[in-house]
Amino acid sequence: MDTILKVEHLKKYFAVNVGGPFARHKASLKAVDDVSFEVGRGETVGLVGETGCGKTTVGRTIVGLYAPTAGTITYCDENLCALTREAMRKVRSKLQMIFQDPYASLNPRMTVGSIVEEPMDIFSIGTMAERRERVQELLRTVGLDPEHTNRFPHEFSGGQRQRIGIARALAMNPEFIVADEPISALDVSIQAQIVNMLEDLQQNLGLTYLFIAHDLAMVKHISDRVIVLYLGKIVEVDESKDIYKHPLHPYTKALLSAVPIPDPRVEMQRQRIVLKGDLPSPVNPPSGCHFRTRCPIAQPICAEKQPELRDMGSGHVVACHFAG
Amino acid sequence: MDENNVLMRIQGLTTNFHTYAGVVHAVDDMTLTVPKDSVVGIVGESGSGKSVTMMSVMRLIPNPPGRIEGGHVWFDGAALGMPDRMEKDGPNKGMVDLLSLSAESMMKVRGRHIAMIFQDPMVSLNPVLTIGLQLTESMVVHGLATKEGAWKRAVDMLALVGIPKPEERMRDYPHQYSGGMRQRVMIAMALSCSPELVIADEPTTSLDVTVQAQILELMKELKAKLKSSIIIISHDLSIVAGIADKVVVMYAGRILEEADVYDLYEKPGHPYTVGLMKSVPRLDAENRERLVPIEGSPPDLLSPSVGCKFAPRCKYAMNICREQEPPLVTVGEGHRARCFLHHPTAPAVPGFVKVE
Repeated sequence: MDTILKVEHLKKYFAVNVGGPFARHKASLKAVDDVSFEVGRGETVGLVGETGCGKTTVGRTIVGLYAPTAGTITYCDENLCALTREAMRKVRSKLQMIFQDPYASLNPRMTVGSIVEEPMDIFSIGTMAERRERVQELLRTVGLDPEHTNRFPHEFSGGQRQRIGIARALAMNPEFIVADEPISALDVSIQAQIVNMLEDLQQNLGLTYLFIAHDLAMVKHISDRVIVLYLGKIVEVDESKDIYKHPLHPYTKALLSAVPIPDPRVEMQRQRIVLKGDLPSPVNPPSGCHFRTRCPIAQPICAEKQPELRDMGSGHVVACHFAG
Repeated sequence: MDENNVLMRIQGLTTNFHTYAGVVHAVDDMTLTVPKDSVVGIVGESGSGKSVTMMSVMRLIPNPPGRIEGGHVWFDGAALGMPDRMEKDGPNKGMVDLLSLSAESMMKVRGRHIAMIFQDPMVSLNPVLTIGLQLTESMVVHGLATKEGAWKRAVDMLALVGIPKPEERMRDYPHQYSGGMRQRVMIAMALSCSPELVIADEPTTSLDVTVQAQILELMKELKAKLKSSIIIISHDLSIVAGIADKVVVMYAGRILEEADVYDLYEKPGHPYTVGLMKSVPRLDAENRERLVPIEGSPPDLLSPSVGCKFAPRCKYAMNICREQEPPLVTVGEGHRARCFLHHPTAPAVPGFVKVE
């Protein structure tokens, strides 16, 4: 497969104050800690995990909203981390992002037309008339009425606003889109509309998606491959149809069993693996395997040695001492 | 249903909000029966009126702009201990209308007989008071226990909802608890006075899946242990599937369908319910099938359309659907649906089971 994006040993640490806002002592919050993966052209890769596992940080670092602490991001044979600002700007047009909250990601003082046109303005593409034309076309692509270019975001519903955000992301003819929880702020009946549209756009425009979400059922539906993150580290990667059938990592198993299924007969009989406690602090993660404090099968070795990612065949990778 | 087994009966409840833009009909002619010792799930999207219904029951609608403009909320009078306010005869014999109570009497009901678990545990606990104080407050106010007695019971309640070292954690402040633990505290608080009815308004929406599973398991466990009825509000059909006995589907301030949990998922009687089920992917699905979305957007409650409120988005809408609002008809035992497709002369449509 033709690799479009390659992330190698990516690390992103944030400096935090330990012991209150005025304390002198700084510590680093390891939001992403040595993450490596590849994305093939035309593929949809799902990134899942709980709040605070670093999935959004990975996405934002890829599009250049955060500078990585260490590691490389290679996009079409170009190392994004080594580019100058000017060169990065050019590449950036091919890497776009769809944000989670359509209520916060559109400027309320700009009309829909100018929101969608702005990326083309920045890159000075075409004449004004051509850009206007393109805006109309984009709005049609995402299923909005082109007549509405002069309206403001507050005149639209949540689903329609997310469509505007998608039109803006498409304005530069991108190849790679990071979709950061694009549907979690939407009503259930609207989610399917947006997901179907994303699938159609992928077909028609040959897009590659990194789909970040916490809804595992939706991730399974939309992605070809799934990456499971826990406290800034990859714990398992597999084809999405397989990972749901044969998860190997105890965390993946627990995540899957936590998802409710809309069928009372299935639901009443299910045996849940309920994880105890909450996600530990990423400032001070547990020694050895990060998951050991909540793991139902933890052994002494888990506290001593960090499990390496092991290849279990056919692209199935897992980081657990007891997998397989 | 056994008439003596009714804990609460909402009858024709209508709540409107009078705003500058016009009147918002948030809840319109809502009728719902909650049996004793049962779990009722209310499912609906944002703006469907599920929370407003429950706020009306609790009489917590801010006025202005909100106003409860009609209907009754009958609650078991014997449980409330208000023999003088009970209906003498009629179908609601022995029940008390909560909407007719004075503000003072209503204060004796809230927390004591009907308790609420709110959606966001981050904002519904007071950040400057200790957990212990917040937990004991309602027991002391309702005169159920002395301060010392309430403290002991609160420690037991914290242990019951699975907080480790409850004695020590009583003196902590909310910010020292994680999101899931705060929701456990909210549950302990709601249950502290052993209310007859607990209303859980989207209790897991702001939580992670793994923590959501913890809270749902806890609620199931408590349901078996305690003698409270629970109303669980959610926008997610899959959350109520595992816990509810009866499910009500709301849309635009009205009930579109009401059924036993098995009936609802196996033979849904309303196109909206069918649509909701088809629009979410299932984790246990074998193949990757394309989702079937419900086209269009949720209704504008400021200027509701005539006829069925779901008709503009309904695949099967007929002429009559745009002219008249269908009544809620009985389509099976304890199964009601608001759809003209159940009418004897309506055409049979593929993908929709007409329940006789």
